[in-house]
Amino acid sequence: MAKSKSSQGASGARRKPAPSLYQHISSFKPQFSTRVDDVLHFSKTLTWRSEIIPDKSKGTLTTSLLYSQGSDIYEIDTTLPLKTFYDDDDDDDNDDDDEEGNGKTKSAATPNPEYGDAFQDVEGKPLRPKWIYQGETVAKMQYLESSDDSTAIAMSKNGSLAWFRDEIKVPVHIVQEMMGPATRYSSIHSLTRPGSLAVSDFDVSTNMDTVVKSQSNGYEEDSILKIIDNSDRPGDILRTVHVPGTNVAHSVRFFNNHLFASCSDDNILRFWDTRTADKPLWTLSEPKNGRLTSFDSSQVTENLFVTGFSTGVIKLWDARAVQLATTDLTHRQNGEEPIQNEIAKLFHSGGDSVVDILFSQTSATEFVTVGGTGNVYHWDMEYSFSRNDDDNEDEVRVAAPEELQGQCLKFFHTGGTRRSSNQFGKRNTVALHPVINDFVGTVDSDSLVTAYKPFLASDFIGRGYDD
Amino acid sequence: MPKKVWKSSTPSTYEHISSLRPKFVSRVDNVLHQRKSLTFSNVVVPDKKNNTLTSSVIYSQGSDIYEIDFAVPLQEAASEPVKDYGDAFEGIENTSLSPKFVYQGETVSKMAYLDKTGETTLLSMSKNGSLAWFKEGIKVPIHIVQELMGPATSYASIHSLTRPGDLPEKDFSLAISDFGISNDTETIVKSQSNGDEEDSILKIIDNAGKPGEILRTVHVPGTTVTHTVRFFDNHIFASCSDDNILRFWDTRTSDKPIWVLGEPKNGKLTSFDCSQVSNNLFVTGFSTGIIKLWDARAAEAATTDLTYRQNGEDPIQNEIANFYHAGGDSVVDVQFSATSSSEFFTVGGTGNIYHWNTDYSLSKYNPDDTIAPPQDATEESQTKSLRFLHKGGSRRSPKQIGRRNTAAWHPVIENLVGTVDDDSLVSIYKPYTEESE
Repeated sequence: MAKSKSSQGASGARRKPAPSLYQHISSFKPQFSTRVDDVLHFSKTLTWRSEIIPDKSKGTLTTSLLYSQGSDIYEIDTTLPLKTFYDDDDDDDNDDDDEEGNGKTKSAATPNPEYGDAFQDVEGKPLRPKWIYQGETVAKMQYLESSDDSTAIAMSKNGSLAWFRDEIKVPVHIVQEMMGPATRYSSIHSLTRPGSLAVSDFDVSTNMDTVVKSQSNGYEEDSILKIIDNSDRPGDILRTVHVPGTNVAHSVRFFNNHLFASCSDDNILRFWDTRTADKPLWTLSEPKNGRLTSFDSSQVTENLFVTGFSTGVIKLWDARAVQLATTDLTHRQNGEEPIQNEIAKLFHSGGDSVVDILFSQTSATEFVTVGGTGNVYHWDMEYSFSRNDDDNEDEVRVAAPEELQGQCLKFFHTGGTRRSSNQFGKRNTVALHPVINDFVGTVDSDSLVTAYKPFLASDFIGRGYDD
Repeated sequence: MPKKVWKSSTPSTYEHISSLRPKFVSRVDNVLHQRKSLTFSNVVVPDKKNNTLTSSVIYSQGSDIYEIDFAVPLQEAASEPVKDYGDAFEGIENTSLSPKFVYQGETVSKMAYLDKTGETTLLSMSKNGSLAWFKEGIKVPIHIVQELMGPATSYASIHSLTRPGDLPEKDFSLAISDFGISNDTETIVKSQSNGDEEDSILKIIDNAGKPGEILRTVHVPGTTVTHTVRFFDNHIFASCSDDNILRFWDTRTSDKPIWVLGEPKNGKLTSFDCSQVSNNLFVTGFSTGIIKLWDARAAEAATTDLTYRQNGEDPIQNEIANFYHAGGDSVVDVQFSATSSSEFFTVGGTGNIYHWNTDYSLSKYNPDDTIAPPQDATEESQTKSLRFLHKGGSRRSPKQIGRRNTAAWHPVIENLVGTVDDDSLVSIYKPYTEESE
């Protein structure tokens, strides 16, 4: 499976080819112990476990990913060359100082043109499901690192939640939605919105105590949020909040232990506190730039979030500024809408729609977006932050869009185009490792699991373009 | 229940006791008229050279809040009970205190120490239910949740609206507002009377992102006063109202209690507290001197157990064990130890402080046996559980009345308790018990 040059063709509209060299890349097509009829028909998702086990004597680093296919969830061990990743850590430490950092990286880590053998240990072995969510199709998984009671939460396509624990194959807690176990994605979905946009989502608060889940009510102009306990009584529904005038609240994300935002098909982000009554604290309306498809909040700084649109537009926001603008009446004394400006605006070239956004859990400035083509874009906003600080808000976005784009797009992973031209990017098929910086796992619709780490000598390359 | 007059076999000797009558920089008219409360800071500095442990008492008098340093012996080498008063306050005995914080125009009724170095150091509540956050080094509050009663409101003028004639001494110990802080200190819940209606309210207030922001107001219908509110963990809290009902809430649920515990017998429910060490234990205290120890899990499970009440009876919720203050000394305050899951003290209406240990009762308690009757107070359980008695103001003035928030456990130093009396005498003591040996 050699890496072809077709990546350039797929992104022909891009003016500046972003670097596409890998520090490490491994692929793996899993075999299953049970007969799988047609792997293309199953919906797949992927997430990482956060444990990493370094083995100095073998020079390897072992971590594992959770892979779901239909109702089955598999755990796949990944063994990485230790050297690559430790050298890179040095590089991160020196990130603030560009010149020095580059010097070091160049000598330490070089791009590796070959596919790696991270999945060597599991290759050829048929996989057995670790967990099974019988009768449901898993649409999203989240690993709970600090919880004793349960290891992971899985959401099914109809919005039900299941808590799984290591060693127990069936869910230990369930929040079952009324649709019933036989419900197919299409039968709910065709009523409101066909396509790749999932109708339900969930997120876990930073301290893991609370889960919020969003779902459509199906046939009415009404989507709901459920606030669910994850501490004393996992699965206990604490409260149901209605989001009036929306069919689908497709994304929900926590900012800290209490503050979360939901994103609905009316292109409005609503900010809530788990402890307040059933009204949003404030809202952010985004009528332009097409359909608001996704958003994610930073786990490193509590204030940053990114929104993505069907037109390929990506916006980076400061939640504090967004909230302040709702109470600032300076330029809107006649009841105009609040003036809420983003920190930076980026775009997928060629109008590649944004289907998913993942903020890095290891860096405050990096995030990854997934395009409708299945391509994965790596962004680093350090360039933008270094130009704007909190105090001179009037001068936001001094950088020309082109320049910003060039400076911030650090890496570009070509999606399924290598293998099938009609692959579509899906939510929850790309996952950033919670501990290893920049380490990404993806799963394609033909069940190919890929783990990669970009080769980021990007500051060097970026400077080359400017000259 | 046999109300045997309980013999004074309880130990009353101290491992350490020190007292201080503070002097003040500003003129204090009549110290007896000012309301006092007391808490500890959680900062402890050990000094190996002098063999001492330094910490401080936070003491409020009217609107002024003072920090009083003290030093207790580090090594409790002498396991003999002391006869004499110690010199923990030696360092400041002759200094006049100037207020560290001032909550101008208000009378502080309760304080909670948060964090010396953090965004906020101390949270204090005034008699009318207002809250003020103080920060180390700044004398005035940095955040305030002001109640509408206004700064000039006195306890009497709010109170006379709801309980005319009930005002004097007898009921003075029952504050009408209270607050509790969640275990992660991110959320505060405060209870207060609405004054003139049959309606008391709880306010859920942020203490993380925007301290002082009122997140939600919850009405507790049919109650005039909700006198106590306490958190069990980060989210679950209980409120205790004058209808003798404990209501359990989650900060994240809507405006209905998750479950309730009704306590119609045993007189007026005056106080309760839950253990910060084990999330499930709590204690309730009554005006008749009865004290009950509960398992929150069992009490909650009973609300859904319909085995013996198929005709809509009230749930059968039994406590683990009950105790009593001898001589019907009413319970005005209950506080669980912050360092031990089995220790709590109760403050009697006489000002006495009773130290209890739950080990005896818990050793006989099986959480799976849901229909076990409560362990009624027997002489044995009473003797085994009541570990120590600190005699209150009776030493100095016979008519001293016990008050809420005038006694506190030290959050770090084991078994250290601080109290303040009406005449401003601040005492800290460590009981001498068998375990001290």
